[in-house]
Amino acid sequence: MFGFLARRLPSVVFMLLATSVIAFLLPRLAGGDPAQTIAGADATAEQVAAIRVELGLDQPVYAQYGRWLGDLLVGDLGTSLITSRPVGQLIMARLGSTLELAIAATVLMVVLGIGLGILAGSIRKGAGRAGLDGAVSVLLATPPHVTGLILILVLGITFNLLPISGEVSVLRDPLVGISLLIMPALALALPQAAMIARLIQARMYQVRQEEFVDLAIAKGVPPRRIVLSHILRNSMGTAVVATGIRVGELLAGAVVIEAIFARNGLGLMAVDAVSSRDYQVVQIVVLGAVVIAVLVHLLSEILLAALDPRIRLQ
Amino acid sequence: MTATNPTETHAGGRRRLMGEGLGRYIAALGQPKGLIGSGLLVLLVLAAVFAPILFPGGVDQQSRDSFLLPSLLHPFGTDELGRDIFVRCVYALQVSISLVIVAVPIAAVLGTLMGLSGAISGLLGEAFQRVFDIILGFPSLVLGICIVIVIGPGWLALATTIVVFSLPQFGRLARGALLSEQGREYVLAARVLGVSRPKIMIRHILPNALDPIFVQVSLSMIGGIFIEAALSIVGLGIQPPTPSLGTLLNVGIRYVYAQPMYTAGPIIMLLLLALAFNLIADALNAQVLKTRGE
Amino acid sequence: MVERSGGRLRLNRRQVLSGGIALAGGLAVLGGASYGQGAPQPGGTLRLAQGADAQPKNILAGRAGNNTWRHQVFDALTVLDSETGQPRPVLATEWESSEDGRTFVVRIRNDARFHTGRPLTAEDVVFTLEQVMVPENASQMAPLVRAYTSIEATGTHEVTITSDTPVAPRVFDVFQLAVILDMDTFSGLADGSQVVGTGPFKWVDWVPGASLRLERNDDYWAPDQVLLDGVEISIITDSTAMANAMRGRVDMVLAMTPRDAIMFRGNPGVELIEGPGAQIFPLGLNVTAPPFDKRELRQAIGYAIDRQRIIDQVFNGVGNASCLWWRSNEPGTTEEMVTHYHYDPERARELIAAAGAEGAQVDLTVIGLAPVPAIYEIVQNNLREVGLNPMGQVVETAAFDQGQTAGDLGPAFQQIHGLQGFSAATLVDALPALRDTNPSKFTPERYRELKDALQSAQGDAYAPALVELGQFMLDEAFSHILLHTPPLHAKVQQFQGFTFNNVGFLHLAGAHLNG
Repeated sequence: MFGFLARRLPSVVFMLLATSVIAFLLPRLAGGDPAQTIAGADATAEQVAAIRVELGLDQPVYAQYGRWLGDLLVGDLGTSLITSRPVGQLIMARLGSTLELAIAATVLMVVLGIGLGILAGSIRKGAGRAGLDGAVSVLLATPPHVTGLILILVLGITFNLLPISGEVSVLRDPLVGISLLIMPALALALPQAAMIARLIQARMYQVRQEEFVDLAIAKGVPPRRIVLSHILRNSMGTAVVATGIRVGELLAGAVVIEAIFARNGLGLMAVDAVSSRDYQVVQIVVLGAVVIAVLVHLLSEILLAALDPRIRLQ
Repeated sequence: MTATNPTETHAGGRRRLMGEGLGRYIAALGQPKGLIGSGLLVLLVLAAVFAPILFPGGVDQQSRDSFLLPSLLHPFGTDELGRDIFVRCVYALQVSISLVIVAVPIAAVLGTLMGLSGAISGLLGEAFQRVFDIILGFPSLVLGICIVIVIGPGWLALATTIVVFSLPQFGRLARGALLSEQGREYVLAARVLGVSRPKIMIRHILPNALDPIFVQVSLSMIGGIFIEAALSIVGLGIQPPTPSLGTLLNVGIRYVYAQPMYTAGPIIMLLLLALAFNLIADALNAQVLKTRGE
Repeated sequence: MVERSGGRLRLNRRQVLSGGIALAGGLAVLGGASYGQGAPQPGGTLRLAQGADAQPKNILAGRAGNNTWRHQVFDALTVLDSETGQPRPVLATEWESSEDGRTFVVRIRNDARFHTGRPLTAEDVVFTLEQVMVPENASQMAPLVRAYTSIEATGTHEVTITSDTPVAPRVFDVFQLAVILDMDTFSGLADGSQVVGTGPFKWVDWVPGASLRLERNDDYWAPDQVLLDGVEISIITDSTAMANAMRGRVDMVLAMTPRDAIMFRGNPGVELIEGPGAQIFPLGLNVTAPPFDKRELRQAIGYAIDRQRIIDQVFNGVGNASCLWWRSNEPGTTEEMVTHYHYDPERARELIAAAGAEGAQVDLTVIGLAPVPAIYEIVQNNLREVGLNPMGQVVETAAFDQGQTAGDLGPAFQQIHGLQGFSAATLVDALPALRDTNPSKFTPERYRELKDALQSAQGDAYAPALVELGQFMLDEAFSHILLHTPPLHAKVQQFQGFTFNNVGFLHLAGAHLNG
């Protein structure tokens, strides 16, 4: 495994460096100015200029980049230009909200995905099969924000079952917290769950063709057990990888979902930071998103190898 | 040149295949799924194009009648400024359709060329692969936000986002075809015979990548439509008063109690568009699998 | 007061919010409690929700996120009364102006202490006023203070200000915004690690973007005014979610949108109040370039816009169509001035014809900050109706503000301004739409002369000076105010005794939760 990591290292480092440059330059290429945000809409040119100097924005770009990267390497995420608070602290303050959403969505994603997948993979003919296939196709093609809006219209407005916006921590008030969490988490999870269901279904068909299943049937193992133990065990690898890749997308989807359901999480923080031109926060959010995606990807490859001895890490 | 020249026969064969390919794609649209999908798409496109004739009052006909319920006169009711939501949804189709019709083909051509570029120079191909890795590494919406902050919110930023987001999908398909065909005898033979690398790329390898790319075009159009909606919902997409499906949703969700159709209307349009492209993709896919005998 | 001519019920409601004022003056605290349920009981934690985050770094500037806590943590020398617009004392005990108005002496309390325990002295007042001048602190009052020739402590509890022009009455605008800071802990304001004032509550804990917690200051100089144990402020950026917090999670929601307030109409447990501190929406026109170098066309725009429809459809009926740049309780304001421009498309067409501008293209730059784009949709429709060709471009706030600061926003532009409740004399140099570097590029000599006349007017001379300036500005039509929208607050019945001052900042001294 260490050999595998060592082989992967150069490309990962290259990718992170490239991302850091992009993350650093992007907000600075945009119009607008964090000094203007701080000085306010009524500010005079003199006030804005004074704040630019105070923030060090008058220094050359390469010097600013060098300083940022240097600080990053020693674990300092920088200080928000707008709130003057450490970026790490700002992220921690919002992390809980997004984490609750992500955990709830991941649980739903795995449960629904595997459930639907096994169901679709077990039923081999008839109307049930066609219906399930159709449902999975629809879910797969509909992104979280559209699913979310449909959920609001159906569960929130038409049947008035769940509150449509707002947020209370599950730790603080479990009942209200969960009732506010169901729709956004479901919206995030459904498309991803459909993806997992598809993969499991496909893998189940494939595994069924393989010799050891024939052998098991020949040995007289009941069909249900074959599905559950043999096939499922052998399909899990695919599901794990799919889940891993999907977690990154889940975080991205959280940006719009948080906007629709008015949750005060990291996604909203990112959008706010973009509109107030808080370079320091935007940089970390972009870089962080990519780092998480890369790590999750690596991790799921390792897990896959652990689950399926036939796969060697290459 | 004789018939024993392997390059010639193969290239000829490929070209014929391409001709057949077009026919096959059209045949695919003749299948029930393809027929419904393309019919629906044509209907939506016509509605968008002829909206100014169908609704001569224009997209901005305001009145004091806010939030009227759906009726024959206003199928989706009216919005806060007394405008017909159905009319605005139909006009909004113009933005979504124009975006994907411009952006996805650009992405398809660019992405395919980038994917095939390995045929010209291994290094170039490898470099583009790294570019694709970086793009795929960015969660899709973060990528969109990055592009919006550089270009500024609007049509151009959305089109660019859709192009950038779709590039790797085409690039990887093309690269896959390249890798599988590269070692084949006829390619090696062509190279030995001195056929130029760009020519090999276009003549011999591209045709093998075309089938999945056509299916992908259809799928990327769905992706593009939803990207517009996502960025506009967050307020980073099309800016009002131009109606787009996403901006309608951005405002509509605020009035969801007063006028649920303000949210439901644009969603119906979004889903119809997605359904149309999805049916077409399905039909193309089925046809491709059938003719390949898989 | 023109804007307060509503019916009995309306007056009653207004009274609660704009409030009687009862800090040092010893007046009775208005609100439900004063109607006799016995003396208000102390105790309880007040829970507030607001949309904007606190900005301790910008405490000397007007910022929406600071309105709720500014006067809890800090005290001002004087605040502007929401009924009269006149100053009333807080930390100041008395003040006097010299005959020519150029020397101004203010005396301060000798029993006030900062939360650190250090007694307040005149040096702190001098320090605070000096900080107002520092550009980094972004105070809208900086130009005023910079015009003073000296600010000196002339005693432990006395400060003397001298200037070449009269100091009062505009100095009370400075005092309203410049809450007195503690010079020892000033650097802690930058990141909110130490926020120390002399106010009735102490700053305890701030989670940027999420919440702010205050707790009672037991050593306040008016101890009987501190009834609440503490204040918890939740920051909820989404307007609908913020309004939803009113369903049992908070006691008061500040500045909700009228769209969200509809939910609570007819709900007996929730009281809706329109506060002072409105937002105004200027539509500016560049007078130096065609087509708006023609005054008739500029005036035509004022008549073309259906202000009432904007109020009804964008603001659900909350707002007033005053076309003045200041609050209607400014001395000298007449009904004629308030309604000078009103919806009259016929007249607009005549004026456009007189200017020879039929079909002229109007390039409008619109700030991309809600609800301005929504207002633009009606403006666009109105301008088309009178035969103009509006072409709007919605620009992101960050970029728009840059243009506004540079005084460059194109031929026509739609802005959003606050600061309502400060005196007109101050606003004409503080509002970007009106100041000398305004993006309308409207800088005739007479404009400056009339401003100077207003700013040096003493006593009764103020009202006529304001009328003359106002009529000049209306006639020149370089900046049309489309409407004033008051902030809409919602609160539970039990929460009583609070007040708002003239600029819309909340005061919780005297407030309690058992009305």
